[in-house]
Amino acid sequence: MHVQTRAKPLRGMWVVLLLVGCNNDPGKAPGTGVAPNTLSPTQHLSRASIALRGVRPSLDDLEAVRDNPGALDGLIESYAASDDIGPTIRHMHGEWLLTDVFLSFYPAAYPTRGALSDMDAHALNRAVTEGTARLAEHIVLEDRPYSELVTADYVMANDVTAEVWGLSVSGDGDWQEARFDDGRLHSGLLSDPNYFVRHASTDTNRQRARSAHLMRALLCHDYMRREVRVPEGIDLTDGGDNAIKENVVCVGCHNTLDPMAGAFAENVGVVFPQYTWSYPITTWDPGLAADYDPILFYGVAAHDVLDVGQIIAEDNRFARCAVRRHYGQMMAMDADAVPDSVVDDLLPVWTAGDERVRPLLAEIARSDAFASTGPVVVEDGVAAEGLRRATPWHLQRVLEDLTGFRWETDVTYDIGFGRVGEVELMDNISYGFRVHAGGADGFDIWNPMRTANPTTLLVMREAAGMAAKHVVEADLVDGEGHLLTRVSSDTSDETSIRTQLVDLHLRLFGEAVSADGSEVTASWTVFANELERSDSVTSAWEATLFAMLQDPNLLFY
Amino acid sequence: MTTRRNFMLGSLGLGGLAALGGLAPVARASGSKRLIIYFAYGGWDPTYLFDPKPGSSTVDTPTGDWVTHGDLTLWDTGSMSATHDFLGRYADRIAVVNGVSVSSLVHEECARRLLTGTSAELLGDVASRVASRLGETRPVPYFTLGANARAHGHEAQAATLGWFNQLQSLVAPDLAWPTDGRRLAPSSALDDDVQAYLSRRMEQLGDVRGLDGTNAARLADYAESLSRAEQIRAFVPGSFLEDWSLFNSYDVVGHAAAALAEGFSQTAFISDGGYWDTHSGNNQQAGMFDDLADGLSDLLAALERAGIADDTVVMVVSEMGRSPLINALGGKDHWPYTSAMLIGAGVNPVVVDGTDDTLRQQRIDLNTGGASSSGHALQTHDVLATVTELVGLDPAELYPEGEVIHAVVG
Repeated sequence: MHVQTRAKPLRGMWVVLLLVGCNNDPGKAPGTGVAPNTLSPTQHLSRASIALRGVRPSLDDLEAVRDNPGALDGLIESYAASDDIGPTIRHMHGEWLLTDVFLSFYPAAYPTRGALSDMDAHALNRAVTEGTARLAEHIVLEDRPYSELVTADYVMANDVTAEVWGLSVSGDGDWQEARFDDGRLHSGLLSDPNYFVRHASTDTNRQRARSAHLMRALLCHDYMRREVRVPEGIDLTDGGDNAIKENVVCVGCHNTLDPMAGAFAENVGVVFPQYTWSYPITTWDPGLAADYDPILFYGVAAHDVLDVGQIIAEDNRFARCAVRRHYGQMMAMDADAVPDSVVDDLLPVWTAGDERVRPLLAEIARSDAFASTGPVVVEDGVAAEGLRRATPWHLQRVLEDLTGFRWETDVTYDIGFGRVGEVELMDNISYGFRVHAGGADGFDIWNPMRTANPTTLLVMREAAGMAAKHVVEADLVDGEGHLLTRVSSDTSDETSIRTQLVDLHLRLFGEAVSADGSEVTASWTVFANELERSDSVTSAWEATLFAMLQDPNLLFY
Repeated sequence: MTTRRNFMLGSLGLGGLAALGGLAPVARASGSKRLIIYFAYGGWDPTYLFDPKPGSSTVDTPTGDWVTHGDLTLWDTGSMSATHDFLGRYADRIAVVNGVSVSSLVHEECARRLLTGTSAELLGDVASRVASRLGETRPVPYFTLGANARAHGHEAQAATLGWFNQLQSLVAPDLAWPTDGRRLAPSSALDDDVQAYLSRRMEQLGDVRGLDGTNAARLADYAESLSRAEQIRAFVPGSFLEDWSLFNSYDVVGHAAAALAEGFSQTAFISDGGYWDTHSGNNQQAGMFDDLADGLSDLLAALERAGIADDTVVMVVSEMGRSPLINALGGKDHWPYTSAMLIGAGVNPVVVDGTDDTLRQQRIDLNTGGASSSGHALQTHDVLATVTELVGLDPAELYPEGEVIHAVVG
């Protein structure tokens, strides 16, 4: 075990950081001068690129850092500053808000009707369920304070969701700010119809489930995970109406949870999208709130949802939760597991950046903890793990970015709400392999898997085979230059192949290795053996990339 | 000592990683019992089947007469014929445990407690824990066929079927989704090379990143997953995984029975597919119980045909019960006591009387299952300890806080 003072702490609180690691050979990355227990600069860049953009860095960026490690921080800054983080922001919010769900079943399954009858069902449902996360993406890319998530005087819509919810959009119908004209108040997420369809509340639940989900998502205050020991003999024969007012166990939660309900009560309790016969769907009715008590948000009186949004925005828990969630996502760890001391440490960054997300992400990605090869233990928990496990969302984006291959199928049948249409398989829940590859489904599985499982490797194997064939043809026949840039279909001498493999190890894994190193020898062996068997350079490259695209360094980054 | 991790790692020649083993010893799979969890999500109303409370003035029960099947009493609502058929055939293999406290009224929390015996977030359910001890030689010790299964801590030993039977389309070439991508069909020699490459790269990753903490665990899971992925692929020819009729169905029962019968898995998790959360229209429960009985009848018949019924324990559960009285919407709300039905190998047909006339929990005598004021108040870990005993493992190791309900164990 090493104990060392961190060279680049996130902030001053971590005086001493215990890096419980035993990096056996930090000198493996030549010329990088890395300290023990942190990734080499090229691997650090690669990890940052995946965390921020969901793709590996370009070869040019990696070579720049390999040749000049001082370029690392600037490149991380540029990644955080680019719009390439947009899909990552959508992905993370879809996961946190549990809005990235099965598209073919409740709580989605919006049918292709009316003006949308010519659409594929999959595309329609993707647009609708993405709407909530598009709000967060818009706020982040526009460099607005994150609190706009609960105070924005608009929702996000495109031409599809405008039809579904009864909004107007202009121009080309691409995602844009939009406003209801039916009298409802706009308060960002708190006015988002997709969110409230996803999180239903029955008549007897009276908005408690929605309130609880919102507080979990926005304040990291999880009513549902609280240890509740329902006392013996509790009287729930009246549906619990009396117990939630008088039983001390129940009152502990209900005295704060229930008075929030009035803020959300205008949203229709349960909507089954698959039973929609015409658009727009009615999701809001001011009359529904008539029999609710005045709103109290954790004891603070509020007049309406605008007040509630403002109170949340000013609640210190909202800032802490935002920091916690973004940190967890960057570190590939569950938000619940993020130590409080880490949040304390990063909160000044959040405040100094006027609650803008980009500076926070850049600060995290630059830190030594982010670049750690082993667990980072702080006084109140583990601040980072050494191996970060890619989700199927990462795997899909990485594979497509590297090879140009997109694993899709055309689902031609109609399971009751329209022809399904083109489906990307790696990251799709309903038809594809997201769950098999360890992803969350937003309904039954709330967090992605953090370790390996057999079906993830089977998914990677299947995709790697097709991607290898695709990219070899694209590069060696069509000259597209995705990966094979230093060889042709005639090149078979070992020196040239190893030179190409050095590039591939850098591009795919962030490994700065030498041509005669053991890493290259591992991939060269696959190439040489297949070349001997097939006498075909093309087959040898297909075999080599088939292996490399399943590499554990793609699953763990 | 052979451990799960160093057994798998050793098979891949990873001595360096294997030396970091040291996990709990495992039992051998030979002759061991199988376990199926059959889960009804949403919260069932036990008064329809398990705990009918005939004549009660304090519990709203279904209307109609009641009939008995062995020790079980069932309301004859006129719409539960499949349930009557099921009990008529299998009542002598069924134990019912009433009055199990789940200590919560939130679905997710109750499900977690019911399946794991605790409120801990990252603990595997009983089927995953049994599988890790009895099924390590199976390609996939724990096969999950529905929501709410929990393989935490045993991810490398579990696989899921998928809503559209995607596991089959993933591993059986003839069932693969059509795609523009051209598939690579590696020779066995190339497969060997790729396996060697991946193993070597895993070793290198361990060398560079270190093997402490979660790094070691995650690399061990990778090693085991690599081995199991190959075992799955090798298992496919001639197995249910390439069965077109199964692929073209939503027959999770058929899939589960085949997986256990063919030796693919030791344990399985099935969701019944219903949504039992009847806050309104509680009389829908009758139809849900009939669907459940249909599924169970199919399952038990399949296990009998496969010749493994006598070696298989089926645990049928729902994460909560429903409140005693009908609400204003004709529904029933959440209730923190539920019932469990245990079927099959070693099960003594008995009804454990864990609720009083008002459907509240009452203490029971663990040996007889009858009410006893000095007896035991049932918790979820008691049911899991009993299941553990039924499959031949040591309940004190898996569920040290649990008490075995001896009345249920034949």
